[in-house]
Parts: sequence; structure tokens; C-alpha cells
Amino acid sequence: MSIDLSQFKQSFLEESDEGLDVLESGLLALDSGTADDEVIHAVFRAAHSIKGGAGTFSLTEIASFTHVMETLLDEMRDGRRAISKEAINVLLNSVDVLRELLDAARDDVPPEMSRVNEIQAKLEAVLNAGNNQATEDKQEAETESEQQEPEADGWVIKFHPHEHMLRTGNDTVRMFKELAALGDLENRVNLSGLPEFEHMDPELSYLSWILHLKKNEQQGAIDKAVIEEIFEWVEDDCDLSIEPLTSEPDDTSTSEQNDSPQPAEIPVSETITAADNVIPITGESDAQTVPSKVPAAGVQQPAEAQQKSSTRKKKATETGSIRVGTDKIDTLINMVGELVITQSMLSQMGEDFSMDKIEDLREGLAQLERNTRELQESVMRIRMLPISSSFQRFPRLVHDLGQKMNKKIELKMFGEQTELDKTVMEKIGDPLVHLVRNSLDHGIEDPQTRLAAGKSETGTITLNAYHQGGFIIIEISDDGAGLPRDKLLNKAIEKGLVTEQDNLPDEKIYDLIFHPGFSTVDQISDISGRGVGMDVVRKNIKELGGNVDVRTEEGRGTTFTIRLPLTLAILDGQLVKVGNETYIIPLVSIIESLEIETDNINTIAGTTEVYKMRDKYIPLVRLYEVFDVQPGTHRLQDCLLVVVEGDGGKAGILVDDLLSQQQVVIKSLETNYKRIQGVSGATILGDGTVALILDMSGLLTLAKEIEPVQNYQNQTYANG
Amino acid sequence: MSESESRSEQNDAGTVIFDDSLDITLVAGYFEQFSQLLNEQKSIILNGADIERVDGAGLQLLAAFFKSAELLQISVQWQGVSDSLKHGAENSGLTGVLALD
Repeated sequence: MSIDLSQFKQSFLEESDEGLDVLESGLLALDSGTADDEVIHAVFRAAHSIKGGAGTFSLTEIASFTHVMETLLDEMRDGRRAISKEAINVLLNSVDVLRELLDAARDDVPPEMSRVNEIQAKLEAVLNAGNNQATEDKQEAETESEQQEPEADGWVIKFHPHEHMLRTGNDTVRMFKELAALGDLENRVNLSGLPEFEHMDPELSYLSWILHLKKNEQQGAIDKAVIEEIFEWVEDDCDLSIEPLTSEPDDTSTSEQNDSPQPAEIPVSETITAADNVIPITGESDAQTVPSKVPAAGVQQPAEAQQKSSTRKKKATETGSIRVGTDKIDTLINMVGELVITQSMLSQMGEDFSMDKIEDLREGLAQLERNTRELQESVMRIRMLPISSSFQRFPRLVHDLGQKMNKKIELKMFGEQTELDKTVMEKIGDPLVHLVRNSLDHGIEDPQTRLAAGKSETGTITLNAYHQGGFIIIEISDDGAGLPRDKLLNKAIEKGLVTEQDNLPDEKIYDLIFHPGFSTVDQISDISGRGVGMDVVRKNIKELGGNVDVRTEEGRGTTFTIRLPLTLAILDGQLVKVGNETYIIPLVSIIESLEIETDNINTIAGTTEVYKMRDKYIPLVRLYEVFDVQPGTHRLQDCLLVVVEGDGGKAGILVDDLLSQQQVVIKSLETNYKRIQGVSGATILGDGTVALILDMSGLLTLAKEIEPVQNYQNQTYANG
Repeated sequence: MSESESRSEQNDAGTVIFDDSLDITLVAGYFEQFSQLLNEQKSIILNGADIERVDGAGLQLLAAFFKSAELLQISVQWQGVSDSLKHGAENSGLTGVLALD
């Protein structure tokens, strides 16, 4: 009986990702000397599980690679091998390779074997280096296994599928491809079982094969178990023998002739040469006398490999599933139960309704509202994941970069169980990495400098996450050098961003680091310092509806504080009216709303309207002009001004009226219609009408296009 | 194989243009087509340029077809061969049988 295993592959890949996290964090703990005995066992178990699963799913490359890791870890956990820094580093590299292999398996593309082979060679070198110390153990092991697997140059595999094998869903092409990935494959097919064409059933199997799988320098010895795993799912549907290839590589005839249970071997050359004047295709007549030689998989053109890698990484980020705790599911079921009870109560009331039941009806509707809100919150919680899945990449990052920069750094993490929406989590990963790298590179000083400054030679980076209102706050702090206030200010003056007369407060000076192209770093490193990035960090965070601030004290350290909404599915919005249209402005973008005093309106360059607000000017955006709708009034004094902050500055949005503030469920315009500049989505209001949700950054850019003379960027600093 | 996607032209030579897949789910259709071409005793041109997926059943059908054509002294030539087909045949030891050298 054949089982379709593909349905379980996704689960295996997800579990393997978790296993790799265990591996990585365990190895880092071993490296820092903070691990107890259980850690090395947990690391070994993680590798063992990945290997076992990979074998089940015929992911040969993963299985064979993990096998070497497992061997090394086994020696470590048994105490036969000391846990050295070198071994830990190679094992950490192996975790990276396994991630790439899993990504390739996830995307169903062939893995890049060059990196795999490189790291596998390093693993084997570490293993071999320790062999001298473990001679006795090895001898013992050899005694145990002397009857098992000799150090063969390769294997002779005789494979005769039973007639029905192809119908079970097993495919010889796939199996041979996996074999070819292990070493150099020579394959001799036996066509003698083929009936006359007219009598064949094309879904039955008639061919058989003798395969010579030889080890090569790149991939090294081939484990018999790995070959057996490839044939694991057809062992009841074929005749199979796997013998060591100990004789001369070309001496295959002997073994074929001695193989009496196999069907009589008719070299393919005979079937062709007998009629090489029959099929007039050039060069085919003696083709089969030379066995088909398949080079080991893994030798790819670098450019192609790079392209594949890039595509793979992109795809790998698009994880399509989520693990949900049963407690959340149970809560959801309870909520639905409550909802059903309320609905049935209201239905019953509707059947014999009279005015004396109006109070009961009101109560029922209030109950329905409560149930709906609770249900909504429960459903939203399903998408909430602990931020630990985003934080867990940082121990490795700090470990690797710390080594690279010869800095001693301790990473502390708090609030790892703080939850946020999966989509937000996926999008906040890169900005977080950028901020941590910045702290590592520019924040934390080298040990000598720290000691000279009277600090401990080990710097500390702290990640902290917690909930505050409807937001998650993530803080990235370091106890490093802090931001150089004067240097920042001078650089800004040099770049013409501010003037010496501006007299900016400190927080505005530090905020300059988020300005595009702004960097005070004298030397550009490959880690950070090019002045590209901090602006992108802020832009990405703003796109998520959040913001990022910096606090710093020279010589004491820097703290970046990120504030993000917990979910992207719902936002708190201000409903505004323009003519007959209702728009929604995200509350997070609104600074204040005020009545317009016409005396404060001025015109710059004859076209651009600005509003004077506390001695600063902000550009005015007439929403009805931007969206080409009929306003309720053209008289400015009858309008209201909503002061908002978008990408690059403040602006005043002219609206007819302010309506209510409420939470709105965001519907994607892109999915349902198309992308529109200035609009981030739409929602359906209580009365059934559709309202557009405004995107402040896009709206202000759009307004600039309508009035090209306006320069909001310059206004930013004028506004202070 | 749908008839609209794979056409057999019968001029001086019969031509088979393969779709993007040549696997066990399609071999029965191709088997019928090949049987007809063999009966017509004309030279045959195969175009496998679009084949993205080939499995053991597909390759076996091709092997049987080539062997039969050889016995009937019918000329078979490839007009296009995809990498998938070539690699599948290589790994299966069928490069020579299918004249894909």
C-alpha cells in the first residue's frame, strides 16, 4: 500500500525549522559555556530528528548532511570528543546549510551543493581530526560493524521494479536523481523485459537496472543507509540488492552474471547494435555500450546558483501556515458557542416579539455586540505569535558579528513571549536586524576602548518587548558610545539639512540619523555605516503603522524604541466627511484637529497654500481636490483642519467635518480592485457604505504632484 | 495529453509535439498516438522541447517506442529535447536508447 507522504512534508519542514532553532541556540549556549548536559542531548536529538524525517521524505541531501553532523554531535554527547570552538563554529555553519537545504526542499528546487559540500568537508575534517584521540572507540566501532559496511568505493544497486510499481506513485526518475546526488552514477538499463509495443501496458513497469554509484571527491563516502532510504518506499514493490563496489570500477560484468535471481542481463548495446542500420539517428548505435554517466549533482553555474538562492530566500519568507495553541482554539470554540446561544435567544424573541420585550431586545443586541467583539479578538489572537520567533535569530547574529569585530558582547532578551501579528512579525524582522547590527557596529566599543572608559570590556545589547495600549513596544538598547550630538549636528549643517541658527532640541538632532543618506561614520564597514538603512528602517516601520524613536546619551549608550500596532487587520481610525464621501484617517497619523482661522492661511509662490500653526507653516491639502469629489463647501473657514504627519513632514488635511472615531477592519484594495496612491485600503461602515482608508505618506506625495511647487521636505524642519 | 495541446501531423513524417509533462497520467494517450504512427510506417519526428516533467512511465514508453520503431525500420528523430527529458534519460540510463546523446 502506498501512502502519499507529500501531505506531511510541510509539517516536517516546519518541525525541522524548529529543530534548527534548537540546534542553533543549543550550540550558542555550548559555545558560551552556559549549557548543562541536557543541552548537548537536545542538540543531538534535533539533528537526529531532522535526519530521520529527511530520510522518510527522500530528502537525500539533507539526510546525508545531517548524518555527518549527528556523528560529530554523538561523539560530543558521549564525551568522546571535547566541545571545541572550532567544532561549534562548523556546526553553526552546518545549521545555515541545513536551512538552505530545507528552503530548497520547501520550494521543490535542487539545492546548491557547493556550499553543502564545503561545510560537509569541514565537518568531516573536524571528525577526522578527533579520530586519533578516539582510536580505541573507533576500533571498537569497527569491530562491531566489520560485517556491515566496508569502506567501499561505491555500491552496485540491482533494481528490478515489480510490474505494478509505477502505479503506486513511485517514480524511478526521482529515485535515480536522488542517487545521482550522492555520487557518480552509472546506470545500465535492461530492456529485455519490454514486450512488443502493441502488447504493452504503458502504466506497468518492464525495465530493470544495474546502477553503479561511486563516491567522488566532492561528496565522499556514501552511506548504504542513505541508499536504502531512497528505496524505502518501494522495498515491497521491487527486487533490490545493494552490494559494495569493491572491484575495479568497470568490472561489472562479473557481478551481473553472478546475479542469478535477476532477469538475464542483455546489455543495451546488443539491442541497439543489432539494428544500428535501422534507426537512422546519428551516433546512437554504440551509445549504450558506454553506460550513462551522470555527474554528481551540485555542480552548478555560479550565476544560476546565485539566482536560485535569491529566489529561494524570497520564497522562504512566504510561510503559508501558522501554529496555533489549543488554548486559543478552545477559546474560539467557546466564543462561537456564546454567539450561537445569543443568536438563538434573539431568534426566539423575534418569533413572538412585542414592545414590552424591547428592553430584552436591547440587552440581547448588547450581548451580541460583546460576543462579536470577543470573537473578533479571539480570531485576531490566532494570528498572534510570540516575538521570540523574531528574537531568536539575534544570539547567532551577535555571536558571529562579535567574533568578526573582536568585540565582547552579551545579548539580553526580555519579553520574548510578547505576541504580535504574524504579518507584522515578518515585516519587522529586517528593521530589527538593522538596528541590532548598528548597535553592534557603532554602539558597542571594542574592549580596549571600553576598559579605557571605565566600562566592563563586555558590552551589552538588550532587546525588550512589551505591550502598551494597542501597541507593541520593542526596545533595542546598548551600553555603548551613544550618538555624537555635535558630530550629527555638524554633519546636518554641512549637508544643508539645518542651519546653525535653527537651534534644534537634542531629540531632533538625534532624529537626523533617520534622514536618507545621513551617516556620521568615518569608516564604512560591511556591517553598517553607509547611511543607507536607518531611513529605510523608519520607512518600513511607518508602513506598518508604527514609528521608531531614538534616545541616547553620549558615552552611556543608545536605545531605539519601536512602536507597532499589534495587527494590520484592524486600525483605529478617525472618520472624516468630504462632501458625500467618508474617509478614514488612521489615528496614529493625526497630531491634532482644529478649526481654521482664515488669517493664518498664506500662499507661497502664488499656488501653494500653507497654514500658520504656532508660528510654523504647514502645507494645506484639500482632500476634495486630490480625490476629485464635490465638497460640502469651498469656504475654508467652514472647514476643519486635521493636522497629520506623513512620510517627510506634517500637513493639514482640509475636511468638511469630523465624524466618529472607531476601529475599522481593513480590506485590501489591491486584492479586490487595484492599488491607488494615497489609499491604503477600504472598509465597510456600519451602514453598509464603503469608506477609503487614507495612507498619509501616499496622500502627501499625491498632493505634491498636484501642486508641484510645494516642498514639504523643507517644511519639516521649519515645523520643528 | 489533450488532443488540442499535442498534435500529430501526418505529412511525410508524423510529428509528435509533447506537452509540458510526460508522466504516468498521460502515457495511455501517447501510447495510442505512438501505436497509430508505428502502424503508418512513416518516419517520425518528436519534439520534447517543452517537457518539464518526465517520470519512469514516460521514459519507458519512449524506450519501448524507439525499440519498436527500430524493429520496424522506422526513422525517429528528435526536433527538440528539454533539459528535464535529457537529465531524466541520463539518470535512467536511457540516453542511448532514446538517441539523446
